[in-house]
Amino acid sequence: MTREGLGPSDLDRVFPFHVAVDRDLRVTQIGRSLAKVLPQLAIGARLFDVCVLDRPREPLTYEVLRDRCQDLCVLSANHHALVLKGQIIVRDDADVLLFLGSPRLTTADELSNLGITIDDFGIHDAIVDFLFLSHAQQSALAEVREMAERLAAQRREVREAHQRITTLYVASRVFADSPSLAIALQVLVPSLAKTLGCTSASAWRQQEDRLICDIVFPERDRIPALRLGMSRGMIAGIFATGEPMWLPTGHNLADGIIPDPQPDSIDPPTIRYSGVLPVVPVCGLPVIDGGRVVGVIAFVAPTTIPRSDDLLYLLGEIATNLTKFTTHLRTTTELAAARDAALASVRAKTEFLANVSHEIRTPLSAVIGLSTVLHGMHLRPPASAVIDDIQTAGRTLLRLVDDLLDESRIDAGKLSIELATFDLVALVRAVASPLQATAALRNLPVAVELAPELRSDLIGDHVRIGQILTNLIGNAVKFTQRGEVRVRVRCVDADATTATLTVAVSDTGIGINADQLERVFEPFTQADGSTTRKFGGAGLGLSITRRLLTLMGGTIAVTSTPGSGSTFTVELRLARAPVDLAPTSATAPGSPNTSRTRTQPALAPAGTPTIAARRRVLVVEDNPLGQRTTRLMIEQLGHDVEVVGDGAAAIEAVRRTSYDLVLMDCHLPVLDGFQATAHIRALPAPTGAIPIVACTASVMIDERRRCFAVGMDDVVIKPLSPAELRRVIESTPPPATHLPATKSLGHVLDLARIEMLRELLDGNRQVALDQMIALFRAHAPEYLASIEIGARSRDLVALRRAAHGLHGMSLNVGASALARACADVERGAATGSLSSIDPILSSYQEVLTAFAALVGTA
Amino acid sequence: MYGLVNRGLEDLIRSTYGDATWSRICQTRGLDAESFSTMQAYPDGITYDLVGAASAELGVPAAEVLERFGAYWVLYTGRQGYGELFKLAGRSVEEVLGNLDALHGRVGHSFPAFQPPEFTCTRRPDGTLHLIYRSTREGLAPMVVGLIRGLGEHFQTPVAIEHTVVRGDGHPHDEFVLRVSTPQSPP
Repeated sequence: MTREGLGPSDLDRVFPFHVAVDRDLRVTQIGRSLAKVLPQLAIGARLFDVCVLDRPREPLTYEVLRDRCQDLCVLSANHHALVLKGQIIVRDDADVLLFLGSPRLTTADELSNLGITIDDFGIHDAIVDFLFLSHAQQSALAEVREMAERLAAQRREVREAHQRITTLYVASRVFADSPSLAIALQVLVPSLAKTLGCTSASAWRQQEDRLICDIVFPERDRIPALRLGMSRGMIAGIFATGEPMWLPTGHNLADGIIPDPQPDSIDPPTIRYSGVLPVVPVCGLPVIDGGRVVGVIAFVAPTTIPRSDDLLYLLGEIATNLTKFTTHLRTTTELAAARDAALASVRAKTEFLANVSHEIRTPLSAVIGLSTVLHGMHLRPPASAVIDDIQTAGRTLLRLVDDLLDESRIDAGKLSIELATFDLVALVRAVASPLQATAALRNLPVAVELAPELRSDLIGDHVRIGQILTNLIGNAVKFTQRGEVRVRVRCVDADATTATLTVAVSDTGIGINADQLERVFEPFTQADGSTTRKFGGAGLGLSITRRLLTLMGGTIAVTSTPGSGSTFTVELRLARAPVDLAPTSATAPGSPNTSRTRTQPALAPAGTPTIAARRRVLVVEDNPLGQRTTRLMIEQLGHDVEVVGDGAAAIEAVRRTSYDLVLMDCHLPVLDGFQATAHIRALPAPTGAIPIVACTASVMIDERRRCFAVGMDDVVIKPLSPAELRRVIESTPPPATHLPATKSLGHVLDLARIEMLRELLDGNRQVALDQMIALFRAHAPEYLASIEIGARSRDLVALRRAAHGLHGMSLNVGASALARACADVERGAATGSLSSIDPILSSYQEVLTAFAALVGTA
Repeated sequence: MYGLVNRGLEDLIRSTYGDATWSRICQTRGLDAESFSTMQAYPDGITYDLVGAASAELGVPAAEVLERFGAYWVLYTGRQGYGELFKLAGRSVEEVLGNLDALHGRVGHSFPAFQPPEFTCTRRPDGTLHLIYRSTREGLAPMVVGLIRGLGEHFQTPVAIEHTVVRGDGHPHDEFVLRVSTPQSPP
């Protein structure tokens, strides 16, 4: 060895698979690992006896090895798995060839065949590293393959889940949107076929002992007159079990099979697909209605699909939803029928009560009216007493009818609460007074305690509140023989906008048993059945009271001790009127009915000092009794009256003669009151502007609305009392004060302000505007009266204050001309001079006329 | 550490305690139960974390988890196709321990980010084996104990293990003295 060369032991350590040969290719030296694997290659053995030369592909000779020492050399052991890969080195010093190599290995398996371990290799030898690397590569590849498979499986699962969800979604949409089973199936069958990936689907139902096909998707697959037997096949099976089914595989049919003319023999039933490919039903589900299988939906695919629990589950879900759908349809239908029947019954009851009211009220009007007329004739006793009794009986009957009507109107949702400012103190006194008088006849005191903090500026339906008070106080008086009745009215809570009132009516009467207390507010109920016989009444009063309070957001409670008496306590929260529009004095004028919307005639303000000038009234009434009654009463009031019997005659009359007022019945022959009014309103002024007051026995709110809609100014309910008649007639402007309708609305009113009011008072704009106008009508007359008195008495301070008040109020409602007139007088009074108040009075009349035109115009 | 290690731990837990236990262990550490790829290097923290979670879940000390894992590792790598390569390391406990360092050194080509431990095994005059274990990681000595035990089981050769030097307190590595008995039957 040269100095740079390796000694034999180093060579063996670094190249344990080396071998050195001489010119005869005899082994002269051999590495330890090669000697271990290939013992036959011992020292002295000839290389070509043990190995062959694989590369280069030439005979194994000294010369070949020497000459090809630049090339890769591969030696294969004879009869052995060992293949050595290496290089030949030609030694300079002798004719010796040195082969440096290592086993050629491709897999780790070969190692154990050779029986070598890691320390048999030289440390520099990369073959072991290569084996590890190769294995790592194999392992990574296996892992990638496994991941790819897992991914594919997951994709399949996702696809199937998506299909299931889509199918269920489609089904749920169909169930939500379909009004009937037939329509649901029409949509469901094709949708399900598509989402399930089937080529065809059909819906079947039983007809006698056969199954017939109602729906086929696509329609071209329909086989006319195809009938199936009930004994065999999947569809018959689903009919029998009511369970979804999935056909086992194996029903592959040969091409071109046409359905048998005897379909019973086909099992499963075949349906031709596109005229070429025969298919078999693969799955189906039942249609269950009312607990019975009424149909089957069958799905068809070009090939059978392997059974899948998921798909069976899906079909089961759809079947369940389908059953829920049919149940829901059934329930809905039954509920709708029950509801319709109930509604029809309620409607019939309401209509019946309305008709009865009309039928009873018309003759009752005549009875009360005629007895009033007789009363006015100052008959001698005992006739006068009889007349009084007739009147009392008539009024009692009327109240009863009114109660029944209220009850039915509340039932029909037609009773509305009408809001207006009212004076609570005056209302309580007005209600209590006649009842006190009645009670006094029996020596029964009715004490009324009104708390000092009670306000007069409340907004509510005073008619209904009055009705509640009348009911409660009336009951207390009725059921109390001895002792007293006490009415306490308090304001328990108040702020700037609302006030909460309590009204407690207590008596020392018969009282109510504990078990009856709960029922006293039920309709047609009295505490004791004998009560009706003893005390009269229909048992509706407390029911109506509670229902009215509920409508107003109030409550009623009762405490009672049998034999000692009862206390009914009402709690009610009411709005307070805006300050600007509230009456200035603590007590509002006279009757509580100071500002009732709509019932206040749109003519002249109530309370305005008027001289009872003789008016000319046209009465339009078809009932002869009614005609006579009204005529007599009007004549007794000292006015002129003419009577016509139908709407057409009324139109003729107003054209011919100038009247101050028309009292118009609504239900008339030829032309009814509504049509007649519409005709009259179409006539030129002043005839077209004549005040028309509806006079009707109907108290239904719809009818009242209709009256105002056609242009009537007011509605009064029959029977008319002489007082009501007087109010209606005498609130008509007397003939002399009729204004020529020459001034335009814009001249009198600030229309922008009116529009702003409409915008401001949100909600029902027209009603809100009407309420503003009603408030103006209710309170302006007071200022007007103060202005007149101030002017007459030359009290400039009072005049200035009143003119200032009316000025502000006019501005509020957009009465600009009136506001200007007031401002002029106010300014004059402030500077010590008394201006004429005539512009105020004339402007005021113009405003009223203008408002009359505005009211009811939306 | 490579995913192979985490997968080995996963395989041990799944096969011994069931899939649900493994899912719970991963869940407590916010890991996906099927997320490890054998050929990818993961932060050591994940492996330590899994061992900690397994210890908590199974109610055994972390050292014991590591020891069981070490013993299982021989079986696992064999099943993963490394069995033939494993044979390359030798046919007896002593041979394998002697080649353990070379084996770890060779693996580096397949796992470029591999930071292999070092093992030096020498036979002492009294016939016992002296094994020095050096590692850049701490706390894995119990796994080495398990590994030796696993080898003993594989070759059906009882091995008595004595952990003579514990890393820390001035000792940069662990040392073991092993008394290898005669194989009970040929492997």
